[in-house]
Amino acid sequence: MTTDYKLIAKLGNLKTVIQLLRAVNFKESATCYGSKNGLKLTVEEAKCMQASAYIPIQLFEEYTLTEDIIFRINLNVFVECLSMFWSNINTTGSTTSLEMHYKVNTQIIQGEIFINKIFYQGVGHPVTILIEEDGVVVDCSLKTQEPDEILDFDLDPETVINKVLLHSELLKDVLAELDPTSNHLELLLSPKSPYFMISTKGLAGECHVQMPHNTEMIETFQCKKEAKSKYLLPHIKPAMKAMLCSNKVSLRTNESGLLCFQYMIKTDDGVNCFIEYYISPLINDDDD
Amino acid sequence: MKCVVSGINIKILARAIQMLSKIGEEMFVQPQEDCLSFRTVNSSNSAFVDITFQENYFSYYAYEDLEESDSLKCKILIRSALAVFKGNLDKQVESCHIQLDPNSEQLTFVLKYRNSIIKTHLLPILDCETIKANYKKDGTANHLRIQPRVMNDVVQNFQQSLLEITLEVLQEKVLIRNYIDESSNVSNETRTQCNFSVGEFDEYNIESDTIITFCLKELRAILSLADILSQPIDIHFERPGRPVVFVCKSGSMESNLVLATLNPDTESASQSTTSTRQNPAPKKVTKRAPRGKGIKSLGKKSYTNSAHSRAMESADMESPGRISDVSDLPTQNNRRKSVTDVSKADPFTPRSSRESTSVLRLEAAEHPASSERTNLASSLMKRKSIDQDGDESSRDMDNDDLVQNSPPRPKSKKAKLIFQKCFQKTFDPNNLPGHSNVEVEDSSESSEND
Repeated sequence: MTTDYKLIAKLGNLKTVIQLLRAVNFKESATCYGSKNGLKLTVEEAKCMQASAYIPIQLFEEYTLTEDIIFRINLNVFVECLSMFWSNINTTGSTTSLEMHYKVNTQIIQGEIFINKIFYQGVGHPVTILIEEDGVVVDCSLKTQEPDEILDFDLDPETVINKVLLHSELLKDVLAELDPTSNHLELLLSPKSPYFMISTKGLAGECHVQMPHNTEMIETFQCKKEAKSKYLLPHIKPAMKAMLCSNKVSLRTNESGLLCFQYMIKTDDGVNCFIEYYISPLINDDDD
Repeated sequence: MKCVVSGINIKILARAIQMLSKIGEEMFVQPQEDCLSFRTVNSSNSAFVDITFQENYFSYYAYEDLEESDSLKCKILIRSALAVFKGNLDKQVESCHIQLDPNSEQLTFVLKYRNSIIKTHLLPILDCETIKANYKKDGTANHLRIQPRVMNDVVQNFQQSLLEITLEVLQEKVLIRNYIDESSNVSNETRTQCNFSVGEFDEYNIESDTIITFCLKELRAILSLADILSQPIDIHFERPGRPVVFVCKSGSMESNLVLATLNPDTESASQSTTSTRQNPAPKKVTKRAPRGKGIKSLGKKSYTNSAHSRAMESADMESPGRISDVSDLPTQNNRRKSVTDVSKADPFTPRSSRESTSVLRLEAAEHPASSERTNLASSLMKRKSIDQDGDESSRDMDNDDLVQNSPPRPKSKKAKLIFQKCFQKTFDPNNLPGHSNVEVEDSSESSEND
């Protein structure tokens, strides 16, 4: 009977999962895609920005998937449910076992959770989250929706013209201190001086931040030709959230100015998780 | 003009600009041949700051074009200058270049960081003008020098929202108190006064006793700057209505803060109040412990305070113990005041006075509920007590604004005093009706009772 569930997943590293989800939680609804490699949650804003958090199967203690699934879910509620016993998780470690099912029937016998009978009867069933802590069980049922079409920001390696791989440390402070009164951010990548520059223009004047291109904080700096594009600062802001918990970040741009931030987050167990942001550039940027 | 600031001096520059930002909106940058000045004035033109960095503050300073010196001055928004130094990258900054070209539209700040990041800030220039203030700081009648830490401790006693404070200098001591505009209709004002002796000052030259009132916000700004530089503050002033000048010098940097003081002649509305305040209650050593106790007993504060002050009067005839006046006399606009007298004998005056202030704030917050109840009783009591205490107080002072003793404690109806009567000399149990009745017989004869 257990074969009726499409997904049984038991989370091992809750802290990282929540970190990943919060980093993309700038909009309410997310599209969740489950495959044999893990879960991917994608959030889109106005068809010009997309963020995806990848939760690899290494972060799960148990992960059973019968076929690929896709559904839309309220990410705010999802994160809230997962972090319900967050304070206990921080202090007492792994006393909480957290189980997540996609359409599950559960029976609780003598304080233990028995998962049996996984039925997948098509789209439209809720996601059930069971949280057990010292015999206390919270059963959350989250409604799912049919997924919207997700934009495919394909950044083919061949079309990438500039690529920078750097330690997030370097960008953290720079992005945190961007002039908040500025509307947009201009990114300049060039094979010659000034190489790598971020500019803002706000009420307090112009600010150009010239980044190094050859220090040890920069792992790779590949620029084929000078590229300069503007992005809306409100689009960059959510991307900064992931910067805070990441170790390394890669920036890639293509001919048309599409910018991709890819963050690598190393967990305590040495598992690499990724968050991706695609930000499309401002095209008519004549006005400030 | 081009200059380079490096190392620890960048932090000083950042602090100086932060200090300016607390006073004005716009900053005037005025390069001179051998120094660079940053100035600002507040919106009401009552405060002016000039911070001047001498040539040797900079690791490089070039004034360059002497002929076009007129074009080398500018006005920028302080907010934009603040943005240059925001963040905690202070310790990572290696050098800061400031460049002002003649007739340029921008003032350029270039910050070079240790991790080879270079930040270039182009601050828009609003205007090509400068500002000057006419003031005299040398040879003024009164001159005090004090360590900022001591002054900070004193200033912290006042509420953050307080606008003005009054500084009174006498030959042997200095009093600082909050200024309450009597024409305003604010009830529940707390009065705080700190008292410090000549010993607290590094220098103390007073020609005549003077009372000046000025804004506190600006004083706080220069105090925090002086605190960081750990340099003493010089205070120069003459008389009310003339500016007071605060000077903080640190090696190659000098900051002057000029503050307008309240002019008693022009401020006719508050003249009377100012003049009454010019004769404060004599400062005496008061005991703090009983005061705290009195304050805790809320609903009957006025009475208990009075009881305590009486106790103190009897204990020490030197201290009339004017602590607080919680009366709600109609003539005083229902305003309640309390004056804290802080011992001048105590060398740690500022610290102890802080304690007393916090207690007083508590009292102020809790007062409104209690004042309603005591209102009627205390105003009646007050009229009587003024007559009694008035004679007493008039020995020390000749004005009526001062804090009076609280009315005497009336015969309390509270339960704990029910048996008080038994201890009065006039009490004779035989006078009580029914005193001879035996309610309970001795236990041996348990059967018969009345």
